Amino acid sequence: VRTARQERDRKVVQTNVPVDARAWRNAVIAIALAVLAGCAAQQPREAPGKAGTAPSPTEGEQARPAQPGEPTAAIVALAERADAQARSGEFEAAAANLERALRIEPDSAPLWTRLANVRLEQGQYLQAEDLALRSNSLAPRDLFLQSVNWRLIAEARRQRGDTVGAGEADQRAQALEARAR
Amino acid sequence: MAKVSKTRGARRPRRRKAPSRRRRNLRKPRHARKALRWTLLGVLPAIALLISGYVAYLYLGVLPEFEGKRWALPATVYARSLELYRGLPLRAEDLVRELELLRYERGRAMSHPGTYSRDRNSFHLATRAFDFWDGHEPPRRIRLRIEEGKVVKLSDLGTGGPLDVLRLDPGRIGSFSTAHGEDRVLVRLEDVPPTLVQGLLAVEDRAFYEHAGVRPSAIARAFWANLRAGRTVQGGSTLTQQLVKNYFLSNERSLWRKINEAFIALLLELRYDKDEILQAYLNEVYLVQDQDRAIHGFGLASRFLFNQSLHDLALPQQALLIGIIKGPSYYDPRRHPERARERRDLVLDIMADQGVIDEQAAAAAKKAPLGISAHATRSDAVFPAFMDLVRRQLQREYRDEDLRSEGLRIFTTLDPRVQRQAEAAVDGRLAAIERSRGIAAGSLQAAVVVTRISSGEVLALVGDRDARFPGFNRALDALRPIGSLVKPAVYLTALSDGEDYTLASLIPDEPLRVEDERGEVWEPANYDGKTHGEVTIYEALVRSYNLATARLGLKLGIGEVAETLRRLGLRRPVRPFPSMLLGSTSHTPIEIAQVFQTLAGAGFQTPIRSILAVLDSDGQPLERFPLSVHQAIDPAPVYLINAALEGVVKIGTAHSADAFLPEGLQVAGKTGTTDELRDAWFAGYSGEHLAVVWVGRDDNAPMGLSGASGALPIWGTLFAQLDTRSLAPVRPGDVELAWIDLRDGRLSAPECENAVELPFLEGTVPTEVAECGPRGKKGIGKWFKRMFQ
Repeated sequence: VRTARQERDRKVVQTNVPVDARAWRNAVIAIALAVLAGCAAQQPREAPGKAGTAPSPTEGEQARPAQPGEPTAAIVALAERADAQARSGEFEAAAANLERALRIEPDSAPLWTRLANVRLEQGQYLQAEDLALRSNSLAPRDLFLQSVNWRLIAEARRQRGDTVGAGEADQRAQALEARAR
Repeated sequence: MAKVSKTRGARRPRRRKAPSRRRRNLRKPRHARKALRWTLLGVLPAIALLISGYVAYLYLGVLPEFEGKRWALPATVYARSLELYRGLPLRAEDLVRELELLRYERGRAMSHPGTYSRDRNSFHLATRAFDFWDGHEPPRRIRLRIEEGKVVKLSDLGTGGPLDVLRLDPGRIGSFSTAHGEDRVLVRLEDVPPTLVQGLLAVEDRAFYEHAGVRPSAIARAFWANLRAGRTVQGGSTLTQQLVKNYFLSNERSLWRKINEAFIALLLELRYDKDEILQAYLNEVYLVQDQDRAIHGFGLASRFLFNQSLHDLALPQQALLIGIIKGPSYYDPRRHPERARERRDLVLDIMADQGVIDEQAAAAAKKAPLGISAHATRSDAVFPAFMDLVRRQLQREYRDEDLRSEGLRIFTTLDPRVQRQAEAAVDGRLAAIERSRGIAAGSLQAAVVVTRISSGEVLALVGDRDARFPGFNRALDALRPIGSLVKPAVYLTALSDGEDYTLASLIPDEPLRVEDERGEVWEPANYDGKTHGEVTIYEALVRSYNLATARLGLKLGIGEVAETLRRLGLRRPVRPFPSMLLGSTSHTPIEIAQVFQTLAGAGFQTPIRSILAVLDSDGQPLERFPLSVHQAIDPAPVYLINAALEGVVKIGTAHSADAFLPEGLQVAGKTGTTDELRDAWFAGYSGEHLAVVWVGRDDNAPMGLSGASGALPIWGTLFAQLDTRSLAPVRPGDVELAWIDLRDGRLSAPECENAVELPFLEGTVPTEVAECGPRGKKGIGKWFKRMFQ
């Protein structure tokens, strides 16, 4: 069950998806702006189990509705501040604000994608790729965000001259986009 | 720094010109014809040249060096700043503690920044402005409300609207002189008790405020007295000269050194006012010896001798400090209490004689004991272990000249709240364990490292059970065998090795005897002394079976396991002996924290860090240490290992964690115990925090405690206190779940005995079905049979 807000955020993101692969570099930035960090609340928590019973590794599928006491507003505020800073070229400040947001909500895959994007803009290509992979590890069933991350990785690889690797990343992104449709 | 260097720079050129002008004068006499005139005209300028050259040498060569080290402002070290936002888990008492650490005044809220008022769970705060490395935080007037341990309301009274997030100014947790690379308890003149200052002047240099740095009459008098006695009985040094002497740290009593001292003293007096020199003296003078380390400065000596801050010293203690300046080893109050006492009483007499104190006060002070603390403390640092880590990271990352600059501001990751919780857990649990097990009180030691998993930030560090004691930092330096903490790496190697192994794979837990190339025999045994036959990998890890692990590790290859450890972030090389597979390899708690960080972080390595940023005195960032991650290991096998480490706490060697943890908090971890119960380890994590706990004895003697009985109680107590979140690892896309009989690894069902739901890499779920289980193929077959019979 998603909250109305998450549903809205998702729509914002999905309507922005361009099909042309070359437009993806811009799309990544668009994503960074559009995927509100409130999506963080989509990450499920394991229901409290009884002590001593057999372990049950967590399911990752169902979403949990955001609770009123959750720090959504803080994360959104910090992410928006970071976006404004990134737009005006203050990348270190943007990264610092994203780190603050991640301290509050470390499991938010979109926040990691945003940070990856800042590092990409700064030319820190290896770090951008690792941050995008971290985002993927937190959202294995979010095909859309996965594809965004692979496009970002493709761009990072292209920038550092790894055209073969970039091609592979683009293919993964395409496959994910096909599945998402 | 800026101020001093500017002055220095401005004066330098003027001085440089002086000698060169004289050099030009010098050339003229060469052309003179009369020898006498030549001599007169030549010798005098030559002497002038020599002297001015000498002064220039002192001024340009020695003085800057002197100042650079001795007059440097200490670096200020800050804790993390508290972020306030709706949804933050925070108890009202925690907020009050934080505000106390920040020295907010309670009561008249809003009168000026740095004040607050509290009405039960509602707070009004007037926050201070603060310049962070990444931006300015303006002063605000805010209202905040806490309900059920969470911030539920946060509003800005200036704008009248809700406030999304703000940072309080960070607490100052210490300072150190980066030039020394050591703790100094630096004092300001205004913080020193007036009687101490006046007493010091009465005893050491009565004319301090009148003389020009040197008193020729006093030197002559001392010279005469010494000549008559045939040895040194009197010193003629002013405080300024003593300050210079302390800098050179040489006991050589040569005339040349005296002359040097005198000239530098004169130069210091020219450049600085008396109070500055006096303050430097108070921070610089050699007072007492701590084994191989000299204790300089009244602030540190006060800590070291009385375990009190200088500000709080009583009169007799002040007099003692003044007295021992004359002969720090001769009057050492720990080694020669009688001499020290006589000297103190003499100082009290002089103070009374000079009118610093009255006769009654002197008489009363003489009756007081020396008041030496049995417990020698060497710093003022509230969190000495963490400060030690910060200092080491600085020294590793910075060039010396950067560190020597003045007034650095260092932003760290320390969370004072977590730090206190970790200290309390160590303090309380060790004492309880000693009591309940009849272990000599105080014989156990412990170390704790707490990190935030997502960022690798060190939130707390305990290096000694007495957390205020800045001695041996066990969290960084206790190099101890890690025992079973190595096992996750063995099993991770197996699970990463293609599709050969799953958590349900059966491996033999049978006797083992290995002879290495050098002919040494290694014959490990299980903790319970038994063998268990064929066991699943899951059970072998959860119950920490030694024989199964060693056999598996030998099959995989010791080198492969060592490589896994390296990829997990272990920097110290592991020696490839078979016993390594059971943790004979020695590591420090912080190294172990790095390894488990990578497991807790789904295979992503995040370097452990204690510093976020360093600013110079102008507020310009010298360096930032940003968050960085690196995918070191594929997340899928790490997810499998994490499932087993959750099992360790639920049904395995750490199931006693139940007794401490709040119900429903999901955690994972691994116990470690070494030969003859010498070391007890527990490394474990929730969804947000990781902590490594070590317990042992400094003499490395057996203590009779396992990881579960020695280290786990501290870890459990800490995690019961922490505001943390349940472990909820995200299942990778290529991992599926199945119910398994944990004894034989066959497919089972939730309602069956010994059934556990385990994760498998896609396509590796076992196909063989256990006896029990309606959902098993056999079960369904039977059910169908019955239906149609």
